[in-house]
Amino acid sequence: MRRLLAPLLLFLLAVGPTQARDLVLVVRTDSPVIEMDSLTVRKLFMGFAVAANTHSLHALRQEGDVNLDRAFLQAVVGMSEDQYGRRLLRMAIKQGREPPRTVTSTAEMLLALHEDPLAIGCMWADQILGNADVRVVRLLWRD
Amino acid sequence: MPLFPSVLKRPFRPLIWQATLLGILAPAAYASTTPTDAAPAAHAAHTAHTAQATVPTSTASEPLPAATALPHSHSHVSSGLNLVGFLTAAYSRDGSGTAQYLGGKEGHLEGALLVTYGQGPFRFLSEAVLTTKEQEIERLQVGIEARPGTMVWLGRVHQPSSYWNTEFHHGQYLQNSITRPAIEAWEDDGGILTQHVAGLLFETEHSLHNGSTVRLATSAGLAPAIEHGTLQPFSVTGSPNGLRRAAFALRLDFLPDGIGEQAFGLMSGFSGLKARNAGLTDLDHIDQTTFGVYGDVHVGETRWLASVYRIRNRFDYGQRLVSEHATSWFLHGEWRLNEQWMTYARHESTLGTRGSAYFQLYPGFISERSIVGARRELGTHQALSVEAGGARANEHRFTELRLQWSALFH
Repeated sequence: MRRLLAPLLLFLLAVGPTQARDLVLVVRTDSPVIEMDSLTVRKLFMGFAVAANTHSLHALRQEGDVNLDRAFLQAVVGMSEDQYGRRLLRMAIKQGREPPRTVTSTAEMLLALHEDPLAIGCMWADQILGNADVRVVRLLWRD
Repeated sequence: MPLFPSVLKRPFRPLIWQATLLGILAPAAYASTTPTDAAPAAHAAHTAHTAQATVPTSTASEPLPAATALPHSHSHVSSGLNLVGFLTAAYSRDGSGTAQYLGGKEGHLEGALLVTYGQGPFRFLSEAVLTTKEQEIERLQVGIEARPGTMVWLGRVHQPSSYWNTEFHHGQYLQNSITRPAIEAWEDDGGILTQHVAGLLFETEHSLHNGSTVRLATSAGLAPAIEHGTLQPFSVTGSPNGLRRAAFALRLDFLPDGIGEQAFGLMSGFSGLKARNAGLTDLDHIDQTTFGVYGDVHVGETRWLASVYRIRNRFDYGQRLVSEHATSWFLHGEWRLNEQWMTYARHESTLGTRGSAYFQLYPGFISERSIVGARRELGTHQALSVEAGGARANEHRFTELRLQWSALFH
């Protein structure tokens, strides 16, 4: 029995709970946005006009991270990639509205946030730890 | 009212609710990265205008600090060129064997190019269509975003009192059925209502406290003229457009879920249709007035789209006025079977066409039609569709069969 215990403990450690990752909504530290309800977040990323102090906010989407993409589609816009793409196209075809700007890396996202006080992006919380330029507006999803 | 769209895959829903709850409970998990002075402002009032993010109350009515000057952000994010292309190949047969009711589109190739450009608050939008039969710039408009969610456009625009057409425009791929209801047909496809005007278009949307969205769109401009049995809208590229009368249109939308998975609305329009060789002696023009309601509802994997129009046509012969009325409606249902397949059906009917002088001007107008169809997605942005049904134009009844390949390039 004792001989079995050690491998069992090792196995449990290996498959045990891993570090949870949180998807968060982030803005530049001096952004006028303090909080945003989930429906407004959804509107923002679906191309509706969302304003702060009468200025339009700009959605930023990070692509290239499969897990982040999956979490974004499920937790933020609530539809498949194809459905989301079609919705954005409809907004473009209706009113010439631009889809959320896409970035391909964390560094690019942080740069875009740094340059634009009206930008709002979705990122993993651990990607901004220790970064004083940005702050979290909302926890969107816990993986 | 469900917060999330019914088209959403069921396995997603618990995850989204989880996310919502996490958002609500979000508390201080990230307090270290959230400015401490932000907390007192966390409950600043939402306004009843365009969807608003909560902002510090102390700055809600003040301009942004100099460090966050808007021109910088506009030039960085709000500019860009966007191109979307649509390609359609279709083959249609009608039971008459003459293709008389297909508008000469037995075999049909169509390409559409949508170009949008934004620079700060300014926008440009162009939608050009090239077919085996015609080339036309369907929309050519420049606009300014007067405030978030409010646009003012100038140019040739789609009049807003048609929900179907402002939902799909000329993007055939985005429209799941091959045909559109006859009452929504474009002018050059035998349509009997004004769809394009040259003038102004005003669009605005506002979020209510409960998250619902209200939209208003209204247009004023030059109406089409009736020429040789066809409505001829103002042409951007065409030669002399001649004298035209005014057209006004309005649509009021209510989006209970805020994002348009459910939409209901009222529509109204007025067009002075100048008669030129319309085929009726002494006819100067026709004042056409429409009132309508629509609903667009997603329930589970189904979508129901319906409209009802009441139409009044008043003939002005100079010395006398003659009015006649018609009612048109359609009910369109779509059932998504899985990611690849969907089926759909529609019934449409226009009452008051028999003995109508107005509808006699458009002998190809389909006053009744029932269709069923299926659509298969191919890859990411291509689809194959087949559609069959029966229709009536004037007193002629016939069957229809259509096949279509459509694609989107983006």
